[in-house]
Amino acid sequence: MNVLKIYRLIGLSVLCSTSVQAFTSLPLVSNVLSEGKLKSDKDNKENKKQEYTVSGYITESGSGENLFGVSVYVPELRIGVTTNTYGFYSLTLPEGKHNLVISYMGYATINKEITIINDTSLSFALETSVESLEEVVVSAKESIKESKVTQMSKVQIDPADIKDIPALLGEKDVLKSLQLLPGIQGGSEGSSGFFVRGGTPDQNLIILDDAVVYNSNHLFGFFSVFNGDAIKSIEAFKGGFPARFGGRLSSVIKIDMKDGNKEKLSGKINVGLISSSLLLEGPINKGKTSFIFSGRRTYADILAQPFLNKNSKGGYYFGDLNFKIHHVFGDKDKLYWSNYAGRDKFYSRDKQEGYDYGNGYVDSGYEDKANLNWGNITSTLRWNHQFNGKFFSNTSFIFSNYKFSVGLDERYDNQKYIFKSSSGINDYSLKSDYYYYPNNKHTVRFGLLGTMHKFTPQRVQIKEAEVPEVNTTQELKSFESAFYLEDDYKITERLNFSGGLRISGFNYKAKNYFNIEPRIAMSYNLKSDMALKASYSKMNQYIHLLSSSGIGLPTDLWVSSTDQVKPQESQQLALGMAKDFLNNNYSCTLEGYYKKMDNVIAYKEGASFLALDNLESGKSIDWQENITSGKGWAYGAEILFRKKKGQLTGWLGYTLSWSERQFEELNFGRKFYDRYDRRHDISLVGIYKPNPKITLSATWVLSTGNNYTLPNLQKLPPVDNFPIRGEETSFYGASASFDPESFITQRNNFRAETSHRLDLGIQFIKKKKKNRERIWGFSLYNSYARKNPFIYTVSRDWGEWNDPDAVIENKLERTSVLLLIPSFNYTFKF
Amino acid sequence: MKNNRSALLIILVFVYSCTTEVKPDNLYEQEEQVFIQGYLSPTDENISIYVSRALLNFGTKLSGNDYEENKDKFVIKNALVRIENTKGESISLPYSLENRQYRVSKEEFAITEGEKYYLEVDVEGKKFSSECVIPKKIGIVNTKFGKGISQYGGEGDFITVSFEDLKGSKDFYIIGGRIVFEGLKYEGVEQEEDLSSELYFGLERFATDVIGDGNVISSKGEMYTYYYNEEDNVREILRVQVAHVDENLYQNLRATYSNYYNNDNPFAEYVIAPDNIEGKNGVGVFAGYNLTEKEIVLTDQ
Repeated sequence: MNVLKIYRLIGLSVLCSTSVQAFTSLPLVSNVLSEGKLKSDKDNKENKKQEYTVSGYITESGSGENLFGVSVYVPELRIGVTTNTYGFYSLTLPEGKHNLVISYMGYATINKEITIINDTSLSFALETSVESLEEVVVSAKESIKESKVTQMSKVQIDPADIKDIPALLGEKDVLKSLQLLPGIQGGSEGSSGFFVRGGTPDQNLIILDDAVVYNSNHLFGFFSVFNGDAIKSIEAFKGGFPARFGGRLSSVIKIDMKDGNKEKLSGKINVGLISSSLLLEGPINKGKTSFIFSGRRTYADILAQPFLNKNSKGGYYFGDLNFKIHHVFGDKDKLYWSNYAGRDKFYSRDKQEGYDYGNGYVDSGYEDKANLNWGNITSTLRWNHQFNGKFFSNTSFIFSNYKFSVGLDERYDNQKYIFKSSSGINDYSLKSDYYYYPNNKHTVRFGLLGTMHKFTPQRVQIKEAEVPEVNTTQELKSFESAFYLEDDYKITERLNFSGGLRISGFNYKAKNYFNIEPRIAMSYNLKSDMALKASYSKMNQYIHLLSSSGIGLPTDLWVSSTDQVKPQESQQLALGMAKDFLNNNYSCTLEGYYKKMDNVIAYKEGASFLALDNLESGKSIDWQENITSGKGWAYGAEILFRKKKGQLTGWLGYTLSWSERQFEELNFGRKFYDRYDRRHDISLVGIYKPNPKITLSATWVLSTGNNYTLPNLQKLPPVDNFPIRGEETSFYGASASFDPESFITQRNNFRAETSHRLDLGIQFIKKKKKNRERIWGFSLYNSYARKNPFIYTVSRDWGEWNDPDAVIENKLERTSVLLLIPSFNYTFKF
Repeated sequence: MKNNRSALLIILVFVYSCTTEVKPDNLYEQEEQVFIQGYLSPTDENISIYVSRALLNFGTKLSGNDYEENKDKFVIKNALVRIENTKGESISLPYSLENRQYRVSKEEFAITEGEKYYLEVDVEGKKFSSECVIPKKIGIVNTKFGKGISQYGGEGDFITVSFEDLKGSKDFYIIGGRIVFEGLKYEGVEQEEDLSSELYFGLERFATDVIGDGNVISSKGEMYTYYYNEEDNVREILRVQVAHVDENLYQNLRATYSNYYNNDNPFAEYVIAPDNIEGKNGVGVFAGYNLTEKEIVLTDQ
């Protein structure tokens, strides 16, 4: 009875009554139940067939890759489940013959008749639809119906679609592809930083094989760190968060790497305009151990070297490495070791020459070197264990690191100035997740997480002649923990309930935060292909990103909640409808949401990290002094209409949204629209495959402009009423000079112009012998060269000096980038 | 750090850009605002309050040749300006044509350390008000000279200014100074007015006690000199200044500096200056400060 008591204590008594029968199949549980109860069950079974468990793994034929989200369905009983992240499924079926339908988007459906007489382990390997094209047409490949899942506010994107969607400079980008879905908005033109339902980029939890990726950007946000080659699945949660996720307010982007081909060595080489990549995967021990390796590097810096001046060198590159090993110990135990390392580096060296009469240009003795580095490293060791057909676990050890550093070395004869600064975060986590399938009505998950965060908000070293060396380091450690329990409960044929509870805690020095985060989602099927959905979720975020720009600059700084800085908190309510059409060929989801955020943080006026001179002075000003906390509101509606099958696939997404903020110390305490508050976002994506040799694709996006803070007024303050002058103040006093000063009375007071663009792509695919394939891909980014705003700058036109009618006027200029960017890439698969 | 920003801009150019002038329509529609600025100090010779119009930043055309006419477009000459202390004593400030401010001499109305003052401004029936407290004067200012790499390259002369923070309060300081060149000659003729060269502290001009209440605060600035003949007997007088200022004054100057400094940085947000003027469509700062100066004759050293 202990188990029952625990269930009642946590307020999920509804779970209890329906779960007892299932618990009896667990040896441990059955021992604690009374004999009387067993007798009662036996009496019931006389009128009912004995139930058994069918469980196993669904993998991809030819590679042995575990497939996640595969539907395992018994039509005559109208019961089914989907595989978990590791490809595992569990179904409870009555004794006898059943027809099992295993279906997954992009793979041929398997219809299998099985006879159940005891607990059975059954694993299946699905063939890709290309390999079994005819079969697919006949059996009509299936995908999960939107109307059949309780989860709402979740979008999935197929990595295969990412490869087909046209991309900037041919760099297929996971995060930019996600931005084509409603509710997930990109920042400025070209940026891969994204904003989900009025949140900020730091409110997005991006996890790669369980490891948090802190900076998802390359090249100041133009590309993301995720090399699509090694990605197996991408899920994005915008609301209705399951209890297993936490630690961020606005979204969860769950990205899983492939495990590696267990059957044969295969690979892919991709040569693009700015980068090349290599993917290699194969068995180390056939059927048991596999590896996957993927690497990418840009080479503009290498190509530019011959054209650079010998005294002035510089360059920029970024690179990524993914490496994973998967080992199958046996039916019940599997081990995964995933690693990612990515880095951006900018470097320059400048030697100045002086003119010496008689000798011409000679070394002036002045030299400066500068470098800027940033990057992530993650490593995850996961162990899957299957206790029995109903109980499955995964335990992960996770390391995640992000580091940004900047260095400056200036020398002039004997004088020198050396400046080094870095900031970063190291995470060490232990996470344990359990999946329990008591019966076909319930899928229970619970787990624990503990993370040690080690932040270095600032480390500065300054060496300068005649000045004592500065060597300061700010470090803070904190511990984040969580326990969660969630249950997907099929109450009736029409009504589904998903309830969960996450209890999270955070410790920083003597300060402890403890929060209870309820998560609820419900769906009610009005018809077999139409459902109404609702969800509520409360989230807490204990670590924060201090961002100067919101465009994903590496100077953005991760910091911890402290005794002064409270955790961010949000509550989100969403209501929606999901409808599937025409034999699941089409789906449509409509959702409305309201999100309230508390304790969101921002830099105080003028306290931007971009004013790096603060750093150069070497003064260890506490970052907490530079921030302020406030409230946020986000609300809106989203529509996603998808065509999932046929030669033409794609979607139309529309988002109508509002996002507001209020901080006591910003904008004179008045409410203001967030910078990325955008009223309308439209995305239209089409992928057309007339035959296996050609893929045509197009995306068209339109979005309302972002908000900018621009000077709206000008004043002419006197310069002689304060005795200390700076370089911004005229030396000659008010009577002689005229230099009006522009100023601002309202934050985010200017709405930028609407952006839109059309990207086009075409791929020519040629199959070769031995399953080899070569693909030529061409794409055109912003094909009608729309001048979308990237930045705005204000300048003053003083007129011509010799014009008697000259006028002085302030001008606003828009800078646009990425106009009509063609690119190509060549891919060879073997 | 300008190198890093330059690198970013180079990369942006690499990916091809184009610039177009645009009209920010919504910023053309603003109500007229009255801008008021007054900094009070016991160390000032005068009490000055500046009252002017704030004109639209975009769409306002000013003369490119007649700056005096432009100034008159801003200045409001018919305001009623009054300052009052906590004892109920008050004074009206008349408009001064010479410097376009409302001004009285310090002999007419005392500004005292620690005292609170109230400002009232009436512009054609529209009333604005504000108040401020005069901060305390700091103690001894220490200076130390050294060499380093100049911001313009090559070797430069530097000064480190340090002083003790006043305990028990949240304090804000502005640090600066200048070298005054007495007896400087141009083509053999001594100049009527002494030339001066401001010290360059950059962002270190602004200091607070966030590093710890009562700690020693220091700022490093660069000194520049004029070249002159040694036989001209020029006296170089260094005047180091540290002002203990009201937070509003500090933030106002810092906002001006930040916006000026980041003018060419498209990724930096404009800073909104503080506003402690009460009254509809009134904007500006009324604040107090207290100045400490130290004078060193460099040519005597």
